[in-house]
This record gives sequence, structure tokens and C-alpha cells, in this order.
Amino acid sequence: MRPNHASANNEFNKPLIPLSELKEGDLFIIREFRGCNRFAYRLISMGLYAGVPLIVMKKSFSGRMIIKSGVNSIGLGCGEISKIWVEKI
Amino acid sequence: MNNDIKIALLGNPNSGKTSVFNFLTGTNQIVANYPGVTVEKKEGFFNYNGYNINVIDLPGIYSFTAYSLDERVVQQYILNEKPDFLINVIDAGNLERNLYLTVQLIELGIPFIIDLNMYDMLEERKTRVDLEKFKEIFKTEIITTIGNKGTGIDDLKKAIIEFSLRKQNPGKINIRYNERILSSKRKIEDFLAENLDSGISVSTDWLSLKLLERDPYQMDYIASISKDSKKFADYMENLHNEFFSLYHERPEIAVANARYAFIAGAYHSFASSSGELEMTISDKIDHVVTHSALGVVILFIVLFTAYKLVFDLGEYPSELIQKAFNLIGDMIPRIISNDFLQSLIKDGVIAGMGGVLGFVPIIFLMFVFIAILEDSGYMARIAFLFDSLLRKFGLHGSSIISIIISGGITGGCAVPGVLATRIMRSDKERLATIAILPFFSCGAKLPVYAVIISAFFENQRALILIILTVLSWIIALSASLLIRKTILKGPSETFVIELPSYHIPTFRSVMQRTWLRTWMYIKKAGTIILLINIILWFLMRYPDLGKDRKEYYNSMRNNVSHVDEIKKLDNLEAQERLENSIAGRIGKFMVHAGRYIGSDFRMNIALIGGLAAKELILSTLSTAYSLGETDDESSIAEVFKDPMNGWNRLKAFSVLIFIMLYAPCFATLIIILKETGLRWMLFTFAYTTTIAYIISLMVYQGGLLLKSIF
Repeated sequence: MRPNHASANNEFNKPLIPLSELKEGDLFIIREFRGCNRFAYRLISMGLYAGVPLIVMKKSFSGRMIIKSGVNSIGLGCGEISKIWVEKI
Repeated sequence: MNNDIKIALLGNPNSGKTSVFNFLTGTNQIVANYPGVTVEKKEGFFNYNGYNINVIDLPGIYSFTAYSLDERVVQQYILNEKPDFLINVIDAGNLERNLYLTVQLIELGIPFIIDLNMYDMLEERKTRVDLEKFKEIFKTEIITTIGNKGTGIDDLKKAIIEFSLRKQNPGKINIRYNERILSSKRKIEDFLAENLDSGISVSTDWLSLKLLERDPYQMDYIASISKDSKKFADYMENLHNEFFSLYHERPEIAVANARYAFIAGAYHSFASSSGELEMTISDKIDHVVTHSALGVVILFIVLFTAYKLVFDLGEYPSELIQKAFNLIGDMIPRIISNDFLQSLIKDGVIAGMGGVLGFVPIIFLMFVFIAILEDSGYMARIAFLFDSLLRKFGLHGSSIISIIISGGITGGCAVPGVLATRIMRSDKERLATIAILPFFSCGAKLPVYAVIISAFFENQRALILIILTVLSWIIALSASLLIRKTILKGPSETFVIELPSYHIPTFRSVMQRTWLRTWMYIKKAGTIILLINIILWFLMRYPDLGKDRKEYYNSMRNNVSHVDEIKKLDNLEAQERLENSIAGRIGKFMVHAGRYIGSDFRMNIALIGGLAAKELILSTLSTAYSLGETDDESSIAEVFKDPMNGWNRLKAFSVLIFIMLYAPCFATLIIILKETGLRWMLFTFAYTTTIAYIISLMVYQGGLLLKSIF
């Protein structure tokens, strides 16, 4: 995890955006988790670790999202998706 | 030769672990809770080739690091109970993610067999697995099964015996952690060597890794055996901060990433897959069922249909059971002549048993419905759909299931509603959900509504029912918000939920799960509810009428000859007996409090009777109004309409609200006691009654005020 002010991936210099800004069908890679460590650890143990390619399957009006990695579909609440910073691919 | 083998099944949620467990053990299962927590402990037994095998179905977890209650329970069980070995059930369709837990078992050094379950999913996922290579890398036995069909279970049983005979130790696998992690681990090991009071029962290699991950269970354990627990806590805090400032990464995340790097390497050497990020049938269904508007409509159709079926199908056998108990009750006077014993057995014991067992058909069908929702994968979608709304009130998406079951759209039962909260992970959200369930209109309240509504609001039946339903939601959600902002303060559980692929549930799995849950209800509720019913019977029966009053009624009966007149005298005697009883005296004592909400002493007594079961409000009212032992709705409605009895529309509406909101019946209270403890049960009893009184007071006094103005 990096400090909150980081908005670009130093390694690749590509802009990082919160997952909440993506729309249905967007492909992305998780780069950072912001917020509580346990939240980050839980996502990782569910297979959502940094570097794994994912797709936004569903985004609802209220901001909830279903993302998918391989065969793994995960539903995230609107509070959670703003804590995941991603790189669009 | 020892023929006893103790094993535990461990795997991710939705890995099909419970199906495997059910096929292994059949009906030889015991369900209880792990000590001190509400996590379900399932234990089963089976015999195979002369061996007695004891199997524990551990809760599904994603990681062995004890952050959640389930993870803590699993870690505690494996470290303290020490099963001979584990069966790691892996979902073949989601192999890579499932191996994260497997890798942690290897790190722990406990022997295990891999059960590659739902093996048929590999084809669907277009994945090929080289099993020999897989075995070679993970250095253990691998069995393939299709848990929901029972395929491969015999092979698994054989493998369990063979593995036990071989006493195979786990193979050593070298997960290459980077130097950052290894140097931190070494520092922890050095610290432990110097600062522990006693020896540790696990390897320092594993322990240091868990401490680096800040595993709460291991942190607490080491603090408890440290020479100086504060020194230990400070040391760990500094170490973690140092790691973060040097590498801009939390150590637990670094460890997890290293494990995934190992898994990715291993996976690609024994498996090849294509079709990643493909749109599956489940994804297509999800597009519709998780839609903000359409999804809610579909959910209500599903719930309404299921709920209609449950009550329509359950009503008949429930009535049959009740009738059977009534018949048995009617036979008692012919067998027992002693008045006290006769009344105790008929009105206390048999009526109480009828009350418990009469619920069983409805509860059984409700559990069938819940099991289908769970097994099909739809339950997770329901939670997803409602989470953002319910979270605003401090609840969880899964709370909606319990709310609907308890009568969220009128008619239901809070007993299975409370039991259905077991699927919730967060204790605070679970307790808040349980606390609001009594506000909804269960099926037992409906006949009472029907009588009062038909007496006073005959032309506005639907409107009054809608007002009551909307009011119950408003009060329940407001109460939840208040509870979560005060006594259950704290952040909401993060909402991250796996949406498993849809499955058609198997009959066997649904029935097995339903039967276990129903049996638990009978065992739990049966004993205590029976006792409470006997106490309530006593309160409504004693002290008995004095000798002079009994003689008075007997002499009056001797003076009349018409059957109707005798019945009238019987009813008058019953009314006087009820008024003279402890419950009657309480009702009279509460008359002052009741007056402010429009209730009279007869209604007060009926409300006390309603604590045993809400439908008893009607029969108690009929006794209080000397109608005899009847719950005939039309005759009670006539009593309400009679101006001599002092009822009017305002009083009726205020009392309706009180009945809807006040303390739940004893069956619900006992289930709350069993699920949460005495304090939460007493709190639920007290606060629901207080809220009921305050709202009814506002309605009645507000109505009187408006009446005086206009």
C-alpha cells in the first residue's frame, strides 16, 4: 500500500484511478488498495491481488460493482470500490 | 490397532465442501456451535472397511490468517484439536484462487489430502489439469470428486484409510519469499527466542510468518506467553512500520503476493486454461438479476412465490398437528380426574407441545426455501442487491432474507427469520437484524388484525394493512439505525462477496441441510418453550376462584336447565377466573398505563396471553369478554363493535399498532436467547415494548388532540 497522495504508478507512469470511475466492460489491473489492511488482505485472499487482470461486469446506479477475474466473480459495495486504485488496460 | 481416524474438511466457501461432507457421512451428523461463538460446527461419522472415521466440516475460509471469526475458529480447531489430517476441498473450476489456502496448509506443515471437487467444471472452464504433475508439485494425494453427485466419494474414503495407514508427512515446498520478508521473519524469530516465557507448540518458521502477517489470533497468543506483552506489541508495531517505510508495502500484502507468485508458477506448470474473462451463463443471468430495478422485481416475485408456497403448503399440516394435539388434550379429562393435573397437562404441556410442533411444517418448508437459495447461488445476489439500501440503516444485504421470512411483506414467522441470520458474518449487523425482526407482521398477528380491522375499518382493509406494513418498515429501519449508532456502534462490515456460479440444487443436499436445521429448532425450542408455556398457563389460571365463588356458580347452574344458559355461566366463571388470576391482576394493574394508548384491562390480559403466541390474543380476549374458549373472529368483532364495551376507531388503531410492535412471542424470544444470549433477548423484549408503547401513545394522544381541535 502506498500513501494516499500517489496518483500515478511510478513503475509504469500510467495514471491510477479509483475503480469507481470505470464503467461496465472496462478491463483493468489492480495496483493499490487504500484503506484498512484487512480489507486489502481479504480481497487478496479472494484472488484479487495486484497485477491480476479483471473486468467490470456490472455497475449499478448506486455504485455497486461486480468484477471478474478469470472465473471468479466478486460483488463489491460502493464504499469498497473507491478504495481500490486501478490501471485501465 | 487403532481404527479411529479424525479428519476435518477445509476449503473455500462454495468449494462444495458440504456436499462432500454430506456424501461421506450421510445422516450421521451432529450440528452444534463452536464454543462461545455462533459459528456452526458440523460433525459426522462413517465406517469404512472396519475404520471409524470422525469428520468435521470446518467453516469455509479463503485464508488461514485469522482475521475473521470463521478463520479464527478454523485456526483454533486445527491447532488445538489436532485432527489426524485434513481434506482440502478445492473447487476445480476456480483452482488457482483455491490454492491460496492450500499453500498456507503447506506452510503450517499439517498433513492433508487434496480433494479436487466439482471436477466436471474443468471441462466447462476449458481447463486441462495434469494430475500427476499437480501431485508432484504439492507432494500429496489428490482425489477427484463431483461432490453434489457423489462421484468419487468411494475413492476419497479409500484414500482416507490409505493416507492414515501411511501416516504421510506433508512434503516440504519452498515458497520463495523475498529477502525483505525473510529478514523480517528472522528478526521475529530472534525476538521470540529471547522473550518468551514458555515454549510454543507450532514451528517458529510458521509462527514468525503469521506474526509478520499480523494474524490477530497468533498475536494474542504470543502476547499471552511473552515475558513482557507490551514489549512484544511495541516490537511488532515498529517492525511493521519499518517494513512499510522501507518498501512502501504492508508485510501481509507482500507475503500474500509472494504466495500468489508461487501459485501462478505452479499452476501454469500443471494446468492450462483458455476462455478467461469469458461471458458465462452465470454472468448473463447476473446482468438481469442484479439490475437495480429489475433485480428487485425478480427478487420480490421469487420471495413472494416461495413465501406463498411455504405458508400455503405448511398451513395444512400445521393445522393437522394442532388438531391432533387438541384431540389428545380433549382425551385428558377422561384419563385424569384431578383438576390441577388435568389443566396442567391439557392446557400447559399438550398445548405447549402443540405450539412448538405446530410450527414445524412451516419452518421445514422455510428451510427448504433457504437451502435452495443458498445452494443455487442466488442468496449471494440478494445480499448484493440490497446491501447499499440496508447499509444506510446499519444492516447487511443478507438481512433482507430474515426480514422477508419474518413478515416483511406481511405474514411469516420470526422464529426461522432469527435462525436465517446465521448466514451473516458480522455480529453487530446480525444482532441489529435480530432486534428489528419482531416489528414485522408475522402470520400469527394477521387474524388479530383481521378482527380489529373488520370491526372498525371494514371499508379500508387494504389501506390499513398497507399503513401497518409501511409503518413496520419505517420503525424497524429507524430502530436499526438507532441501535447501530448507540449500543452496537461501529463501522459496517466491508461488503465484498463472492458470487458463485449458479447451480441447480440437488434434492439430497437441500433435504439434508433442511432436516438438520429443523431438528435443531425442535431440540432448541421444544424444551424451553414448553416450560414457558407451563409458566404462562399457571399465570393465567392461578390463583383459582375461592370456594364461595365456585359454589355460587354451581348453585346458579343447578337453577337453570337450558344448555345456553349453562354455557353462559361457564363463560362467566372462566372470565372471573381469568380476571382473578395473576395475569388478570397484572392486566388490571396495567390499566393506567394502558388507558393512555386506548387499551382496557381485558385487552391488557389478552396482550399478556399474546406473549405465548400472538394468536392467543383472540382466544384470551374471548375469555375476557365471556365468549368462552373461542377464536371465532366474527363474534369477537361484534364485541368490539358494541358501544357498551367502549371501543372506537382511534383506540382500535392505536392497539393495532401496539400489537404489531410489542414484544415478540416466547418462541421467538427463546430462539433469540439461544442465538444471542440472555442480555440481547431481554433488550429485545424491553425495547420493542417501549417503542410499541411510545408509538401507540403518540397515535392515541395525537388523535385525541386532533379530535378536540376539529
